[in-house]
Amino acid sequence: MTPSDANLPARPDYVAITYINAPVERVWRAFTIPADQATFFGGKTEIGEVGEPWIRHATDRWPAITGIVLAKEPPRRLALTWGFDANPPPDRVEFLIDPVANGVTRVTIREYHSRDWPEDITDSAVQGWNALLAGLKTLVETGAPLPPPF
Amino acid sequence: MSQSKFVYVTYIRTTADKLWAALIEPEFTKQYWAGTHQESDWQVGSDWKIMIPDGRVGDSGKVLEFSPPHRLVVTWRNEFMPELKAEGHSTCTYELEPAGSAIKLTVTHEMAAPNSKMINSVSQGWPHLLASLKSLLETGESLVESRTWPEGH
Repeated sequence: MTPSDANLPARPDYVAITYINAPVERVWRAFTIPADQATFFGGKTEIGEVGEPWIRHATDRWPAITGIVLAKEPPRRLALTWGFDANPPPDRVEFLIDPVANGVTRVTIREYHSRDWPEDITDSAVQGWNALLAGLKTLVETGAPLPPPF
Repeated sequence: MSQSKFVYVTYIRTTADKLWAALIEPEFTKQYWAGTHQESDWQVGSDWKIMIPDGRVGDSGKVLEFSPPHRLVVTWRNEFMPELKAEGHSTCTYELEPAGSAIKLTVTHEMAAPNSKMINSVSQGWPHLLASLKSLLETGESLVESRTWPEGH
């Protein structure tokens, strides 16, 4: 726990989960290798150290996503603020990487909203986070990216 | 909130026909859905049930819509946990849509009552089961712990 993220609320507003047939360390590595990140974040991604910015650069389809790194605890936890450029204030998201049985890893995305979200935004976030998990899982399990569109 | 609803979206590198078969054919479901298989003639209005490997009926309902390989809707009542069975029938909708080189699968499981224990229970189960299905179709191997019915359940 770092001082900057000590006040994450107890209850996330949204949770997305998947299970990946690979060790925790391999899943974490995907969050740190630029070529890997690009496949599941959907574009070139740079993640700094705690307190520094991170960015998923704009793509043909989507504007840039930016925020601050709240926590980076290899190989189990990454917490970020995030938002589209024109859409402050940022929300917070946490990636938890936990070992389960038989060499399988559970990845949990917990999202904490800074305000009430309209239903259409919530729906697109559901799609977005689940697409990210699907792309991460395919990359780690098969070595090949699951290409856009997402 | 007047109803309980769980939505899971995933993307699987496969074809809609293969994914459709994997969702309903026993030879596939036994590999990722805790050793269970479904029994139905899949006609609209027909009975549908999930069979636990020891012979018990796990869940049951009726087929509301069967449109291969795009959309399947069933009513769904748990049959082996009394507190869930008491809630009656939920509805589960599977939707398959092309998404680039993948198929987008959306599973929506809902109950017309707030704070449903049934929906809370399936919310725990679906992510694991669908992750194992994705592994099976993309790598040929499901997740090991999803292949057998959990002991004592």
